[in-house]
Amino acid sequence: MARTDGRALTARLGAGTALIASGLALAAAGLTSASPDGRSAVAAPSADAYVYRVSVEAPGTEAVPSRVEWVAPLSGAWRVDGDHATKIYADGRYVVVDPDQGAFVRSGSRWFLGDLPDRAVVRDALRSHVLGRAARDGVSTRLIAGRTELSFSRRGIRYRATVVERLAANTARARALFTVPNELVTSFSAERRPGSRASVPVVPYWFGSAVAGRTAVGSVEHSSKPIRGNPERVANPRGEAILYITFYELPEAGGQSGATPGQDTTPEGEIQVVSQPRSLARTRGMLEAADGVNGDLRYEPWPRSQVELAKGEQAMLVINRGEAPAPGPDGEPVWREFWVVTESTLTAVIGSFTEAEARTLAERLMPVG
Amino acid sequence: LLVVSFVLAALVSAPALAHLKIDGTWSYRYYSRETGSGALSRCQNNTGKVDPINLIFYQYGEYNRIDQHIRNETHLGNFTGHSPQLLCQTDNGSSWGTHAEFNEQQGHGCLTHCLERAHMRLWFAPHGHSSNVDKWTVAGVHHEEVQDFSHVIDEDWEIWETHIASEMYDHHNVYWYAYSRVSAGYYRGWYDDGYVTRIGGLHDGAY
Repeated sequence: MARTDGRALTARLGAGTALIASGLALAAAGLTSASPDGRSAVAAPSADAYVYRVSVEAPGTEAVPSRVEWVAPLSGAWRVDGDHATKIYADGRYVVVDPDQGAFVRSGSRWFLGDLPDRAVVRDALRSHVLGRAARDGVSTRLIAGRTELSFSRRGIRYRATVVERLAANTARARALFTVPNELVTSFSAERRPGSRASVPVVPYWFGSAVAGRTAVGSVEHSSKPIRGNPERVANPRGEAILYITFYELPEAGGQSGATPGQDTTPEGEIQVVSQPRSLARTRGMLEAADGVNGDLRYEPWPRSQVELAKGEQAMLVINRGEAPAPGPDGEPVWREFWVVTESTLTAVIGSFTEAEARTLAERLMPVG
Repeated sequence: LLVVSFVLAALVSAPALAHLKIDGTWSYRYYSRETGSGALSRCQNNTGKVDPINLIFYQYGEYNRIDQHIRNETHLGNFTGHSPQLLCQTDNGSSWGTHAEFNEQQGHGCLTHCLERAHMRLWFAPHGHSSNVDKWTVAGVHHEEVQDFSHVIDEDWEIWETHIASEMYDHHNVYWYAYSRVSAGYYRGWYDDGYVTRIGGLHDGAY
């Protein structure tokens, strides 16, 4: 059973803070100059001689509207200018450019990008056409008023696409069709191999390569500055986030996780281990909530207890009691998440746990690397 | 003992907190639920999560007024073709109720003829408040695009929480990152910071 030791979590920032705080400045600088690996936010495609502007519609249906896609069919890069934002995929990176709020960049494999690379409807049909294998791939082509029209099926739906413009790749590069200025970037998320050293300034924790019948399938680093737009929100220090997350999945997850876009829900049994520096304002806000101060609401501090982690490090264990528990099989409360607080880091473990299970798991946490 | 403490806490503290919290626990779950059979069980067992409920309109957050203010002050508006979801609510931390949404609004696109849209579901407080200042409404807002007849989330949950609050900022008190609900993390493939933005119900300081 957890016990309350009477110490406020928010009063215990220690010597580790200065190191993290100095690292934060580096992260902030990184956000305004380049993505974490130093490349442009999105690289221009290099495999294609031409980039195509294509109008796509689904004849006979109202459910799928006409849309315009820029596609580099061989590299698979694409750009769609939507109602309020532009979406770009190129070279393993997906970017949302919102003129009001900034650019959001994510990079990684299919595990982290999911179906995002495939969201250009015409990509595969256009590739077949460019490679001269349209008929073989079930794509019919014809010339109408000097424009190429493609008819094809995708996921059971018939589409008609008209090529309205063809640009030389150099021209597309010059027009920065697939490039996002780094100064626009307010948020990036990058997939990392589980257990790899953090490149954002946080001391992350994990369970090792497996825990409780689950395997570490991927890690994500996330860093965001306050979103652009409203000045008061930009000035709010809670807008800065630095996270290192490791995802543990049951075999039944089938390669999916809560990090994978395009799903209706999170895979059953998933555990997310989310580490963030204690020095961040948003982390302090969580610790204040544990101490009974949450916005204008006041309540009794949540119970907390000391715990020894896998490498002998002492930490504080707190269950997030903000979300009401579910009843366990024997009536014991089952909670959504618990927090392990070390000198430098708040690590939230998200899943489904009794208090006893939370303690057992907490004792297995150790720093990454 | 836990149940007893929840009940005692509810009796003591609920009126002052407008039923938002029962001691340190929120009176509604952070994620919406699908309607249909088994909904109550999903609320009780905290399973079947759908969307984060990332905005709260409190104080003076009477639902008809809030619904109207959103229509007047943002790019969202009413539409037909709702896909209702449920709010899970408790008065004592252990027994649960399911509450139907009050309305849905959309904007920056549309449901059937557009490439994409912002989509918001609204729920009013599932119990009455005699005082206007205590009234509240909650909402879950996200952005999605049409993909082969289905709608898929295509931006971080945070972007649209911020977008809507920014659009209402000129006439309402907005409390950014007002409440810590859950840890930050990735949910259905997109970043959620776990904080809820609070928007006051007074319009230019008047009810």
